[in-house]
Amino acid sequence: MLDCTMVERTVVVRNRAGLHTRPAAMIVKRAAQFASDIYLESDDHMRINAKSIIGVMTLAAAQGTTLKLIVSGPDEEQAAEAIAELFETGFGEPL
Amino acid sequence: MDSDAGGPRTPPSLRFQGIAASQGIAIGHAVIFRAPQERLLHWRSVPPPERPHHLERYQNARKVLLDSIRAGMNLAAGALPEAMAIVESYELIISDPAIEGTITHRILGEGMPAEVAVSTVYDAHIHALANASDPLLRERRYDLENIRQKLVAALLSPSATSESLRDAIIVAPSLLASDVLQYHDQGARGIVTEVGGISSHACIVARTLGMPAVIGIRNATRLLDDNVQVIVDGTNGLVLVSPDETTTAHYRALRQIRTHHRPIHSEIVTTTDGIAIPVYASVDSPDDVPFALAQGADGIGLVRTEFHLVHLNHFPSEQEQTAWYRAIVERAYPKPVTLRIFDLGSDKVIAGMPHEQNPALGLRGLRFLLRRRDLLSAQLRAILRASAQQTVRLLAPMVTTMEEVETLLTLLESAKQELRDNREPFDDRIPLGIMVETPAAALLADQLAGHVAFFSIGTNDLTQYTLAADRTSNLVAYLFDQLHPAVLRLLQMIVSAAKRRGIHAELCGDLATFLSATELLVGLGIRALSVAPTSIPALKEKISAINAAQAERLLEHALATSDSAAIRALLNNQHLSP
Repeated sequence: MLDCTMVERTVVVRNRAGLHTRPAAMIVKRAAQFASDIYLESDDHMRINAKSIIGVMTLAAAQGTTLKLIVSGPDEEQAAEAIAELFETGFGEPL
Repeated sequence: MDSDAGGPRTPPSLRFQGIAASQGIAIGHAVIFRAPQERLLHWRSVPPPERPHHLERYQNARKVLLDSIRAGMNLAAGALPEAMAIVESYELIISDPAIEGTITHRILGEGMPAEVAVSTVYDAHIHALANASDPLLRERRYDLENIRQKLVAALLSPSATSESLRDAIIVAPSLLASDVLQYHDQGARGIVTEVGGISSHACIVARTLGMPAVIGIRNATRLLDDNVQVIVDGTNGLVLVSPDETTTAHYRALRQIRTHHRPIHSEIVTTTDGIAIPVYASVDSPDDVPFALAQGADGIGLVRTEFHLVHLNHFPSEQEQTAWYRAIVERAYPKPVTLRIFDLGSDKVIAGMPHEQNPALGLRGLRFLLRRRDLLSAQLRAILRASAQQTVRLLAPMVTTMEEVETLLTLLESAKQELRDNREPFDDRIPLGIMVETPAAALLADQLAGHVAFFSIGTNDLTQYTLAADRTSNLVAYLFDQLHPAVLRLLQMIVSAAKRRGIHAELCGDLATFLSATELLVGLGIRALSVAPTSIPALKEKISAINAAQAERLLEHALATSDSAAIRALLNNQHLSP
């Protein structure tokens, strides 16, 4: 991809249960709808592919964790917005 | 031991006792799914020109597995929302681009044979998950292990899956929920596995499909051969291999009775001599209630509230509990709901609970809650709030002393007072019952009955404690027999005590779902049963064919016997007589 722009946003795990299987599956399924490369990076610089369920699961991010969302590609704005929204709404789970 | 003097033995009919996981009788030929022989220790680097072929093999195996998982998803869609979510997560793992990318690199870049690449990549993730600090995350490794095994199996013998499963009994080390859905769809009749828990997703799906299953037969895939005749008695946890003609005929007759068309009875059924016996559903969440009612449940006889924690993965606040209990009560209204306070400890542990050498005999159920009165009082208030429409009953697990009951009554009274002070509505006469699931409670039943409104007999734990047989152990599974004469005598003691004091004795636990035992339970004087929703239609039909007076005579005969084999014979004969 020749596009060298990139979208970076900070997202916070708001739902009480953290990024367990169900929210992880939601992220992966949403991410797969976009052409862009989508990554999540933790405080300790562990960067995972948001389209990988095993990656998102092994982040094991608990409630309150801050993550960096990094998106690059043709639909990066929409993709970043969509993923950030999942975090903001707590994946539809208790906050 | 020396071989028989009488000459070589013909291959005998074998009989294995396992754990009853899904009731009913299945008769068919064995199809053995062995864990693949993984010849992976020694491998040679694949020359570059052949590497694309290995990549193609991996892609094909992946596709075969994905197709089979998706077939499972289609079968689960709609009817089985829980199974659907599980199966969907398998699909995401198999399609995971990170896993796929690494495997592709190992095959094309490093020259690994496809099966070696798959094994090593999955193993690394399995290893990482096994060391995760989050216990739920650790459990996910079993899914990955199962998927890895299936991929390797598909690579090593790609044709194995095309075998016809019509009338087959599936014998496997363990199964995924999607396997059960698919094998059932392909005409398989029953399931035998070596490991697995009775509440595993595969077993839940088997019960929903009405597919008989017996689990916990160690080494089943080595002890049985392909195509031998097998009878799966999922009601009693028995697997019969190469049975003789008489046995087969006997089980055919039993199966005939059981596979009879089962209408849904939405009203309370009565025995032929007019005794009403409500059949309640045992559930784990508000989501289970509509399905339970659709199966004809006369109410919810047991809500395992500790599953609220399992669903949430954190300890629910008082408000969350109130909302959850109200959701159950509203969905069931006007039918009654029995909310059992948290049965924590033993196999369900929360952070901060002590680690015990022998948790089944440790700080569990009411014992734990009486140590954590903050948690208990909050839960009592939440349950009281859900009781305003007077359809709620309260149930306490794991009682062994009178003092525990008295303390609980005192705490219940203070919880009521707090609600009165806040002018919150609740049912002031909410019935409090106790689980009778220890020999101590059974022996003290006549005294306990003076303090509570009902007994709910938990036969799984009562059997485990009476027979000193760990119900999670494969090694003593043959001893874990809910029809043991000792258990039967305790049951009689409990019910008689309840009758004398004019309170109800109900029964939950696996014994309630064993249709061969229903008549005995009616004879004992059990006047309500609580079972998994899927067992309700058959149980109601069974009850409506029982004559209570005759059942009492059957009980007398059963109590006069000294071993469970004789009791079983008695019950089975009874079952066959018109």
